Amino acid sequence: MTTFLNILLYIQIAMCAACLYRIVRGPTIPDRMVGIDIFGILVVGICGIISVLTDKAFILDIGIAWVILSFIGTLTLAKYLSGKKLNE
Amino acid sequence: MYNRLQAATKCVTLGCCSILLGVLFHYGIGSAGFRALVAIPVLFFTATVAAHALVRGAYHFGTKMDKRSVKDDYSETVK
Repeated sequence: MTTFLNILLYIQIAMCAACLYRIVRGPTIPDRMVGIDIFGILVVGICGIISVLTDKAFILDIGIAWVILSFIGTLTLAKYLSGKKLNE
Repeated sequence: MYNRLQAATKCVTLGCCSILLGVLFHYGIGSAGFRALVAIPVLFFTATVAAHALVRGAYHFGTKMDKRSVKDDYSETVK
């Protein structure tokens, strides 16, 4: 079971590396933003896997906080990109 | 670019929801399982809303669609 979870963790980290590649080498700005969005959600999966691996429940709290912060960041970037005011 | 949003909305959201569902089954109903139960709807709704805002912003930014695209209904609505 631990081996399976370790393999899952490495797959997830490889997906994060692919997202980082897209952020660095994205042809346009929206490509980079999609990479940032996916990266934020992938970290939550890593938090869940580490929480099961180490049997510590508080890592799930980090995941919940990370989801909300990533959501706010993506919304801000999207609003900035569309060129509108933030209070609209 | 709009094709990459496909991965952002469906695959990542449902995959992470499945991982958190597995965490919920691992801990059972209790203090830790409740946290996973809270994280699933939060992740589900925020990821979809963020992806929708993202593609809206990208459209207003002026991102070109692929040459092989045949239909663009949103361009009539936005005028």
